[in-house]
Amino acid sequence: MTPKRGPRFKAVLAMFLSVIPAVGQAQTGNIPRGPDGKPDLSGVWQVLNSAAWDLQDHTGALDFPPGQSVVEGGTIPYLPAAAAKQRDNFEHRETDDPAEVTCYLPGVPRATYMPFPFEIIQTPNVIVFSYEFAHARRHVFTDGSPHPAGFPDFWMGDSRGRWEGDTLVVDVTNLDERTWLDRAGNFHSDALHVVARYTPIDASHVMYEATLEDPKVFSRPWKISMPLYRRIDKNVKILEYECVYYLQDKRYGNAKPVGVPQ
Amino acid sequence: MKTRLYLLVAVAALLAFHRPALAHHSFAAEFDANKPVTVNGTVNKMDWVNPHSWIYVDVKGADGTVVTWRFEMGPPNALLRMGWRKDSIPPGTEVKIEGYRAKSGQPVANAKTVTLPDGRELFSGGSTPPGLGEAAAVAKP
Amino acid sequence: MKAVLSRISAATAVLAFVVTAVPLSAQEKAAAKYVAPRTADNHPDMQGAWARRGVGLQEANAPSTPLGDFGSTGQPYPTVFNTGVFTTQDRSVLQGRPAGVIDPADRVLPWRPEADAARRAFIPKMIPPASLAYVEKAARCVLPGPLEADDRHPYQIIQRPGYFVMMYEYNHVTRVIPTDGRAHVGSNVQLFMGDPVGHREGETLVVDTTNFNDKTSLGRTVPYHSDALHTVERFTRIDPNVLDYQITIEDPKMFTRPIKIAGTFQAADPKTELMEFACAEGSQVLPNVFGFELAPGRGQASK
Repeated sequence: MTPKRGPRFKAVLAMFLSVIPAVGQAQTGNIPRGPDGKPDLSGVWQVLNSAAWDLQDHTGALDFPPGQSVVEGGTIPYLPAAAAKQRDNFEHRETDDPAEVTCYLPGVPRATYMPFPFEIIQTPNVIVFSYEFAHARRHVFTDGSPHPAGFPDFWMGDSRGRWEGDTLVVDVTNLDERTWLDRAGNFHSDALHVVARYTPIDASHVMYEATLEDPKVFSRPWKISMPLYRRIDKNVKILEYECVYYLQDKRYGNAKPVGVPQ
Repeated sequence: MKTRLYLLVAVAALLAFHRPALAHHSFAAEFDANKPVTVNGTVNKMDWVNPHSWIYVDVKGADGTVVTWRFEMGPPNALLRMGWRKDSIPPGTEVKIEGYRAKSGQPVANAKTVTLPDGRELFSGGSTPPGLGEAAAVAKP
Repeated sequence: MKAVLSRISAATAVLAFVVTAVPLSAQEKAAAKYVAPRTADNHPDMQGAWARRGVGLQEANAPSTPLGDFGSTGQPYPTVFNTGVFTTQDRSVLQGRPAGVIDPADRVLPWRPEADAARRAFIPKMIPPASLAYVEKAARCVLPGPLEADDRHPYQIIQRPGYFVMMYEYNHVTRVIPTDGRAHVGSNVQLFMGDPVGHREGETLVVDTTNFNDKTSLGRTVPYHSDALHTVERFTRIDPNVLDYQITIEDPKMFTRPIKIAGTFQAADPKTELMEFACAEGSQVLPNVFGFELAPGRGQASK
């Protein structure tokens, strides 16, 4: 048995204190760190903007909160044909939005700024992102492994991460083309490649930046940025927003079956 | 090839003793164990979707008309872990697929085996009825 | 964990999975002496990629169900997490181990008569489904509740100070189980997977789960349960490659006493990465049953 106040005890205590948010205390500095000295992003996080409705500047309307653009430079640089498709998406957003209307997994980066919290669970080889919306989840593998070759696309893509100083850099590929970037019909193709950067500012704020590159849709790479706010509510936890179930009940609850499942 | 421990037989025995209470949607709901089907055709496309991947095969009838059959296979994860890749079966590949036909009578079936032109069999990983396939329950390298 | 892989014969395999409760053998007693390494906050370390085996709600004298029974016997798919379920050469720790329903031992489930009658009337209307309520929950990609996850997909356990996290590849279920002694959430928050709270008892992690809604299924012959459902799970690492698992199911509106189920988590290849399992996005069951798409959008159901 190690002595109670020996180095092991202190290490455990230090780790424990490092992951308890300092509620009510000064939030500057005090970035929680793991035993390897890297920032520990574990905890429940959420954005406080209206990017989920529209990444660009948008005026308020009924059920549509206003917001300023989170896009660096203001506007998304669509190729001409793609700009027309985005306008078409926008006109049909009430029926076509794959996340809001169909409750499909929202993809990356949209999952980050949905108006729901998400939890980061950080371990040395994998950092898990668990989203309240549709219980979406993705694994950011930080073991140095590459994107697997020849894999199909996934709704939440394939994410591989590494540290650059205090910034977690996540490279995302294999993104299914069917996701949208927001409710305004901003979209991408299966060529989308996202590089996201998570930089802790202090114990309760992380600056999130994502560069999107998709030569089939955009004329050049472009970037969004926004703060992530730590949810410091007592006993905060991710609950369930089982969008698909609610929608199934609404659409099929009073319907008559017509055939056997194929 | 390193020696592998395959619990095929063990798990087959396990399943025989206490069948898991579940799998996501039941074979019996959609497919008919009394309607085995074998088609020869060319691959049209493959859908890598959960919970079941699908492979579309164009089959030419005796009268020359082409019918596109749709075969349900296992979840893509299982296929990926068995070594399948996106390009494993490109469109145009000739395949022979054995399976069990949909109850609806449509050209839809649950795939048991997919055989490539070189004779290799790629297990579909889809649901097959209990008792069928037990003959194949031998350890494979 | 070091792997020693070997071939086994069919006969040995069958013996290895005999479903009987037997007294602890000398080998089992020896295995019971294994003590798991510790995490930083002094919990038994159960981290890794695992295959769940043996967990199910078997029932003697069950009503026949048109859902049929289901198993991909004979194909490598059910067992393959990269190169097959990973285990040691000495598999004595698994021998004679009970699996599935162990209490009641005769598997005659302790139904309340009215609940038994209700489900016997319900089951025949599931194929074809009389309405949405009769569609098998798993076919709708509903969260699996305490039992019904698809064990052909791996699990991964990670632990952090104050948390035991169980991730299912199946339907990307994530259970974040706090072990810091907090209370359950308020009773008006109902969850498909319930609200879990864990604490350590010696070598065992005990997980108490309440706040279930009534929208999940417990099995083919128990296609629903009430919101009085309460479960207690016990995880004990008895071997570098095996977690002993027990779950006690209690639903006083359905059953007159609790039901106990035993199983194991067996080590998968340590290089196993959980992959995405996007269930609802690829499911065509409801559109086929009802003849129209879930959402009226253009071309969302398939590429």
